[in-house]
Amino acid sequence: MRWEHWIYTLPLRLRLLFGRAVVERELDEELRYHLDRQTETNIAAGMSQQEARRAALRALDGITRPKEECRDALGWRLLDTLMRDGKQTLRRLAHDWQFSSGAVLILGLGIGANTAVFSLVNTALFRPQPFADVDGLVNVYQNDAKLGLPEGSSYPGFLDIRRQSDVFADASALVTQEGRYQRPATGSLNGSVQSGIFEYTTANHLDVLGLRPSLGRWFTADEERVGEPVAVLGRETWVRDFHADPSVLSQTIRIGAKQVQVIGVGPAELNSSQGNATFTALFLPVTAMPPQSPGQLERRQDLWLLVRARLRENVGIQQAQAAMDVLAGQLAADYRDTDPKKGITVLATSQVRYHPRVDSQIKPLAATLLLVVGLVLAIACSNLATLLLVRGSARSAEVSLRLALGATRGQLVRHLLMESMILSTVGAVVGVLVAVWGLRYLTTFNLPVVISGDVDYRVLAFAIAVAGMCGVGFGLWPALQLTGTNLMGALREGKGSAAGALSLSRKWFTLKNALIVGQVAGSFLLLMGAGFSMRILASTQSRGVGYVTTGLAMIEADPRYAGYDPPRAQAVFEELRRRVAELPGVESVMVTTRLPGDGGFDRKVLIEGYRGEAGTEKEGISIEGRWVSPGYFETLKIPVLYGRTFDDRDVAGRPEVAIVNEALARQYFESPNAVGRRFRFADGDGRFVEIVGVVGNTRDVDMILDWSQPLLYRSSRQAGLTPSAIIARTSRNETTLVTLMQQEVRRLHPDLTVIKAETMEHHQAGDLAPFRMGMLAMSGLGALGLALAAIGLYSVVAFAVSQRTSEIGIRMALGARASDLAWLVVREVTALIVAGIVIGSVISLAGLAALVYFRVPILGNDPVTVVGVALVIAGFGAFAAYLPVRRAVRIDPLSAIRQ
Amino acid sequence: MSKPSDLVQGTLNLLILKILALEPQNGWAIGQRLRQVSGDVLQVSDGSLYPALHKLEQAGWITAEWKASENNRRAKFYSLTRPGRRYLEKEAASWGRLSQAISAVVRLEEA
Repeated sequence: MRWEHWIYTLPLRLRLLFGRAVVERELDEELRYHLDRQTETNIAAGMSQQEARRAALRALDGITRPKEECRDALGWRLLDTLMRDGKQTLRRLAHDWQFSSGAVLILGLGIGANTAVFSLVNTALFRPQPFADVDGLVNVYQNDAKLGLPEGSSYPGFLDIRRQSDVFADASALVTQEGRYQRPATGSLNGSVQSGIFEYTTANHLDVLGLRPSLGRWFTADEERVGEPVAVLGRETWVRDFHADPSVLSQTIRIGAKQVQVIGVGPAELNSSQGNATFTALFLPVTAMPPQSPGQLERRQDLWLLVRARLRENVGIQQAQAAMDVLAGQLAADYRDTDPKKGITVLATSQVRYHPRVDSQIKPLAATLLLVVGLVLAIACSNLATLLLVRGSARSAEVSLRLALGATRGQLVRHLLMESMILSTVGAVVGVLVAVWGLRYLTTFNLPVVISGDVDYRVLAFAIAVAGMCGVGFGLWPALQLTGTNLMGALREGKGSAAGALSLSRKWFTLKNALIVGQVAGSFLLLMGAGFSMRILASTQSRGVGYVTTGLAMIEADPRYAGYDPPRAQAVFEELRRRVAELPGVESVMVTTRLPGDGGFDRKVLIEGYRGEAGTEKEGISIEGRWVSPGYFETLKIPVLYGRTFDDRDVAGRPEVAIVNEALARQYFESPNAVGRRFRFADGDGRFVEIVGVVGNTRDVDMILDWSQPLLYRSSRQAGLTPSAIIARTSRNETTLVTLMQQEVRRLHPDLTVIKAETMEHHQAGDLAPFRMGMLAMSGLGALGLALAAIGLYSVVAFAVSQRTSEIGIRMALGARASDLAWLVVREVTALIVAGIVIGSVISLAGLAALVYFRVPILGNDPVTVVGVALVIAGFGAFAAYLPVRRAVRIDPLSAIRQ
Repeated sequence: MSKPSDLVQGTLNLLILKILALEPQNGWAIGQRLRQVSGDVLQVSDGSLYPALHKLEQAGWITAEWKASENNRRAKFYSLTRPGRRYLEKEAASWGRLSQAISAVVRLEEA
């Protein structure tokens, strides 16, 4: 139809839809006008008043008939029919409210919970990169010396890459690090110390990304060269911690002992230059970064920078890669001793999320998530299908009756289809509500990544489409089957045993049974996932980290913000340590520079008598280390296996000593007792360090999987490092101790800024937040799957029982015992549940085997989880089946037979 | 039954459109005019006129508005739309061809 058509017909159609009363009135008026005029004409022609009126009416064939025909012409007949059908359907659904609310609930939860969980993880893992013209951006990585995989760039390496002006228009470098700063104490700001993520980067950083500061300016190349104390605030930090006050540009913040001038606020769209899933608090010149190792800016060995380059126009990635290959060859020749010599990799920025290494771990995570979400959706759909099938067969008698009374097949199908569509629509609406609210609830969790409360509409649309199709499809299936049934047969058999009712008792392999078994198996898999994540979380508590996390109170304070120099800071902390030791209930106290789990140093060491792999003799082995102080192992209760811990002997000026963990001792020495062995630092002064003790393995709370990482402990006191925390173990309530310690600090040194005062468990809970959330999501989805499967079982059993009411009645009248009758029904359900559990465990065992095969570390085969999950499912299934069965055996035989 | 003869039923739309092409009219006047011009040959009952009008309105060939009639009462006046006029031209032309062909056949002299 042409558009011009619509100009004339659209208003009419709208009026027909919404202004029905008006249209009816006008129709009346039109016909009345006709009658009156015709009557007048007839009178004029000489008829009497009455005669004239009658003749006019006759000519019009009465008033009702043309009206009715006009209504037909307007297409109201169809509308009327649909309205009547709709009303009827709604009445029927309201009458069967258990079925309707069940179906709506299944759809809503299946659609909503899935969408919420997926949206959340999706926004956390796969945020779009906020850069302008991202296609022209590449990440350039020097490959690491050991594995030859893309790693990062050294600062001199970055300068060399940036000079390749034939392929790159410009290149910037950045590195992120956690840090702390003190807000100015002016106006509404209280001068407290904040921790956040610092991005050390270059002056051209925003130019390369194609972004602009939202306020003030970025630092200049000159400021970058000398490491000028200037900082650009992250937009989110400015809004949240500085109340979006534009006068910050005239203020200074404090980082450690340094006053730093705020010169700008970062772009609004840039949460972070890497992955965009965290909020960067401060952008600082790369040269202002506290060096991780001496001479970091000159070293070619350390690949610590992420280099992003803007390609020249008409230069492709291949061309850039070719240029980098040439450069890599030059560097390897020019810097024989220091270059990693493994080449340079160019990757499109849009292809890298965080880092190639991290990305490769995220992908399986995302795949798992999609699998879980798909599984829940599949369970929800198959559940809905079961409900609809059961309902369909329950209605076979009704359908037969209506067919016999003359309803057409089309009419019946229309009714059933309308029912499915109403259910699907309401279910989808509930799903949207669940998704929005669920997501709002999930975002209340305190997570270290940026999450948005935005529902992922693609997933929502997909879930609704799948659930809707499933609803309509399985709604129609029984309709088509039933309308094809032999009328007389179905009627004669009566209410008791229409075609569908037989499926549970006589035919085993039916669609319905397959769906039930599938649901049980699916929820088994989901619960296995939930069980595993719970076990992992539990294992990180207390016993699992290698030390006792309960009973510990800690206070973190940065003495630099109080203006203390290192010797004064050490004296202050020593005094505090003694005071805290005298507090009631305190068993031991330590002063430390870093909290357990907050990382340490990474140095290359040469171990005396250890040859290792070829090529590492001169370079040394890279080993993780921690700075600890006297009392560290005692306070945390890390077992000392051999030798001693640090004590008062180990002070500055005495020969340096070290302690290693069991994993290091086992890996690099023949026996776990490494006391007396020696090593040198590859970049040190050549003096040997003696190992004086071996302690038990520990791991960071958030590092779930590397239990046996070799660790080297050095004494922070011997190295003269500034302490920043006090940790005490108490035999009493640690929360009380935290308060007492805080009071002590405030009394003795009111100028000392306390950054954190909490129990160790509380501190670690923060690190565990992502795992907690993951576990919550998994258990939530697992519980959902179980609930859905239980609903499915319940409905099938309830249906089977209701279909066999008269049979049960007869049997009881003939003297069958209740328990026998119960068994009659339960037998079939049990078989279905067992089949589901068997299939589920076979799949999950195969999955576990696959994980082992692909060397994904898991907590070994876990029979407890498997058996536990099987029991939970069997229990729920039995309960779901028991309710209707109980009702069945309480039937009064007489009334049952009469039915 | 007030059904017009088969021929008329197929051409009622054409007749209505043609009448409306002359000037906008209300339903009663259309009926009067039909009888006048066809000299009572075409028996169009008033009862079948209105459904036809409503169908034409639905199709967008004609459009309606309420106006005062000659005796100053409110009446529904139908008028031809532009697509309606095009439709009329097309139908009139094909009707012309059809009636020519039929009369040619009818006039064939028996051999």
